[in-house]
Amino acid sequence: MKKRILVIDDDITILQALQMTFEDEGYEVEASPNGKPVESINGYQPNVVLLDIMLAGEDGRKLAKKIRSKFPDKPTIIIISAMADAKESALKSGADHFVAKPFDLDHIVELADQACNGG
Amino acid sequence: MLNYLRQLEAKVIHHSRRFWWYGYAVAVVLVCLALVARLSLRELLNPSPYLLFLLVVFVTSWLGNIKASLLTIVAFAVLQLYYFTPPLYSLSLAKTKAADWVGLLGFVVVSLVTSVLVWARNAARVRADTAVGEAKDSAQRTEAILRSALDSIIVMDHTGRVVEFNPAAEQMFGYTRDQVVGQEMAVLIIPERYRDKHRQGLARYLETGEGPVLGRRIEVTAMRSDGSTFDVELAITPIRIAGQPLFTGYLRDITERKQLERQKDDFIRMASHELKTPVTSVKLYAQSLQRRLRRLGDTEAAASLGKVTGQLDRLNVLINALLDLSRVETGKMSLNLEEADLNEVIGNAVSQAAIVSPGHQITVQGRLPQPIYADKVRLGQAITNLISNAVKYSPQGGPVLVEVEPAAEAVTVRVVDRGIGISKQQLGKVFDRYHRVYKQDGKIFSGLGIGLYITAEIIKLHRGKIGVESEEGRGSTFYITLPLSSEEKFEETHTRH
Repeated sequence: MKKRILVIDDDITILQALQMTFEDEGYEVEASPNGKPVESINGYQPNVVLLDIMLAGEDGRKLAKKIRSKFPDKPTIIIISAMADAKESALKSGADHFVAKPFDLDHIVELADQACNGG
Repeated sequence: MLNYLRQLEAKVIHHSRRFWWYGYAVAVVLVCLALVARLSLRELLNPSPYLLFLLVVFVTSWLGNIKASLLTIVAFAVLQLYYFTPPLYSLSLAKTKAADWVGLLGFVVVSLVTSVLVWARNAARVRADTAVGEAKDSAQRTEAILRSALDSIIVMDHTGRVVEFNPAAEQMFGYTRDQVVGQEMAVLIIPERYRDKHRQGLARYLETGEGPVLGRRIEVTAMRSDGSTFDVELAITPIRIAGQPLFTGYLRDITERKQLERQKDDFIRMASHELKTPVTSVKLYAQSLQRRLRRLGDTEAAASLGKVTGQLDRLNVLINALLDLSRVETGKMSLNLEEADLNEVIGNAVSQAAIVSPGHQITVQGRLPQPIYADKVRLGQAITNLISNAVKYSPQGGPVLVEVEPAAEAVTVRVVDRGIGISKQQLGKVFDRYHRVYKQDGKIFSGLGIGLYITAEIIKLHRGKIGVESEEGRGSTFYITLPLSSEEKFEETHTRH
């Protein structure tokens, strides 16, 4: 089964780099600078959602909460943020992992792979 | 007449306090006048020969001082003997009659008693006057201080009622002194949600004598007469008057300072976000390329990109250090306390340091069998800082030892190096903010000079201790001691301080 990831970050360079990496890793990537794709998540059914907290006009934690209320088990939500002290609130919002920016790409890929392998 | 005499008395007492000779001068004048009177009115005064002298002794001791009146008595005794006791105009005592002796002795005794009584009475009065004067001065001084103070000063009694409310407080809270004196302070200036806590604190102090907020500066929320709230810095000192405690509160409006702190905090957050975003993208592209190169088998190029990410990590450490400094300064550094495995925390710190400094042999000795109640991330940061320092100041390489020594109620972690050491003059300053270390050639070691300062703050937040022993040229031992307390105990000690 194809691994699917939804990446949301309003920083286009980061978004493109993540898209490139996950495509390299064999993922089907949906990349968006805003939370719009969250609305159609039902049809897209990603294994992993990679979310930034500070989005233009949106809070990634709110998006996480929204996803979690609709889909209690899947997908795995990974919140990334430059605010290292946002860990607690991020996990409270329903995220499974919190990774502070600047992160280790290997670590993120590992987390995503684990999620896809049902880990 | 009585008034005149009182004024005269006050004048003489005033002068005799100013000039030591004044009492004696009064005595001499009066003695001379008395002698002249007695000599000229000999016939009239002879039936009661000592009456005039006694009167003068009385007046002298009243107006003058005890020494002057004693001199007056001696002078009168001599004059009586010379002018009025047969044989006249002679001081010879041999032929004096017994009756005259008795009279003279009687005069001396009565005069002495009179002088001492008058002196004692006057001395008591002067003391009382002085005390009243001082009390009045003191009250005036206190009032002047209260009136002119820029800080609000509110005095509360043991029942929680306002006793004093200075003009600055009137201005700060929008009440007049008359409106609040005698009222319960809590209702007037403490927002409702904090009132019970205040009342409990007061009750506890009255019961146990313990008050964690007393004698130090704290930041609290206060309420104006219109119900609006604002931040104040408050210092309360208790004093005891007539067995009952009085609490003096000094308050300063810190709304502006708080606002600046918030702005600074927001700025640092934004700046850190703005700084981290490009670091994140550069690191992301470097690592992404690194993964591609590895896949293509170009390990050399992949390793070069590893150096790029290493430097980016260093930059990130610096950004985090600046953020931490700002957090410490604004009191925003908080701990995420949980049960943690100290051995794991140390292990992670050591392996991290080993990657960065392969030239140093870092070993761990000892372990803590039980979990510790701590913030894993912050404690790890503190230990990493100590190990990084040990490595940094052992530029020739060499061993770094991390020793764990558990005791009954605390655990000590020592980081021992055999590096350049610290001179005695520098030893007391190593935990100071912005403290930098100079190399032997006079150049400065790299770094911001805030690592040990932040480390010390983290350890303090854990209710632990930090210290250093060092000998220049032989190495240093930094140690931290952390209490082995449970969550409940930690909370207890946290709230008590």
